[in-house]
Amino acid sequence: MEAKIVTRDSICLIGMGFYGDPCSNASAWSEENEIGRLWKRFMGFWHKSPDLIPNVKDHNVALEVHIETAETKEKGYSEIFIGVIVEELKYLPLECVAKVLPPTQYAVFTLKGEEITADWGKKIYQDWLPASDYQLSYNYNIQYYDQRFKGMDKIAESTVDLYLPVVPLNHLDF
Amino acid sequence: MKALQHIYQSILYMEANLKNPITMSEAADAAGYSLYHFSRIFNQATGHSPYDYVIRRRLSEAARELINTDKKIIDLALDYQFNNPETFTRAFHKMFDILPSKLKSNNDYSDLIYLTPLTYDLLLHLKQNPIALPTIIKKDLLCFLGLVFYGETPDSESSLYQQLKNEIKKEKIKTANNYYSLLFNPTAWSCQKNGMIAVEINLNAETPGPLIMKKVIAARYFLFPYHGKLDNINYTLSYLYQTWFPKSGFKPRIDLALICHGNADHQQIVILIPINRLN
Repeated sequence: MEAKIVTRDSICLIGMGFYGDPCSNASAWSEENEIGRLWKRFMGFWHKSPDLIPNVKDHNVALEVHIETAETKEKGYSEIFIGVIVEELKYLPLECVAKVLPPTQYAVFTLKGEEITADWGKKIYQDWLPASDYQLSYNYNIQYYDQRFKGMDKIAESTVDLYLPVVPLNHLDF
Repeated sequence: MKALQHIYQSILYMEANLKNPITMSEAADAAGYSLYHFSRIFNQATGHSPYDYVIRRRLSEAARELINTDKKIIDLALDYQFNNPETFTRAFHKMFDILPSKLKSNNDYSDLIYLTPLTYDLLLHLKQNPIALPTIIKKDLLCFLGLVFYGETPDSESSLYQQLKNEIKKEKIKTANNYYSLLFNPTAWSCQKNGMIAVEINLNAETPGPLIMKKVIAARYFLFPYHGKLDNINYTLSYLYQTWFPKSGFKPRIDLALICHGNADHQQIVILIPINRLN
């Protein structure tokens, strides 16, 4: 996979979160996993009350952030956050939480079509990263959804950017 | 089917390490996937998250040992990688609805629904015959007339079916023309099933010849359409009891399952499982 390296200041997000195994079925009544439910929950709220999240940078952009925790490797649990980028944290609706992602460099991968649902994690973390001149700066990744994403039912026509926080090798070794 | 084989490799890895400390990251390695992708595929194939599968399998094996050996609860908790007896007891109660200490002193283990190891054949069956969304129906007192069996559920070619058909014809029994298999121990995976093949009759009917009458009290049932082969229906039954029901919030009765074969042609099979209560 090919990546371009970009640098970003801290990113301020307002959205909603979930902690646990994101792929477990919420119930036997539904095929949805927790991520799908989280998207519906947040987008439902945002569309119903857009004014409650002021200063949204781009109304066509929403992020899905996967944050590794101490329980990720052992139990497969992680924190999933879905939200929108805001200019600054002026107001936080009761239904939402905020995240401030630290300033860092990112390796940006563009996933197209079937790549979105394939095992990109293996290609990026197990193939690309060890062969690159970078190491992880933080234990999270961002899926960046904008107008290029047409929906899960039109995955062949869709594009998603994957942001991996990185730092040049040895940069963290003081 | 390649993904299914990879998932099965991870199941073998988990099964081999129920008494060892393993991480889901290692299980993902055994399948050859990244952890996130593994979790997604594993859930699709099995209906369990990987961690949920390991915990339920550990609790199931611990329950067996608790019943069949003199091991102490604390030893079982540590053997099966629970940090302490309290964590083990909480998880055990959540899965089996009984405390391990109570189970030990209890002589009746028939209520326990273990999670047995998932096999490749079962995963393949589920992929080819996904569980259809059920409906809940209420049935009043049902009355059946039929012949008992012990072992495999008889199919339409079996001599038992022929005998039942002949008796019905000979005695001119009026029926709704729906043939049933009644399973009286549907969750007894490791031993032979006992039950009867039968037709539904009205309550005032007589019991002619070698036929036996069975009355089933009024109940609410989950009705699952089944489109697979009758030979493989036990895969679906085991999945329903061991995986589907624990996640549904409903508790199945384990003394009866009805398999309705329609006009004995097995073209329109439905599974009816009575439920105890709504949680």
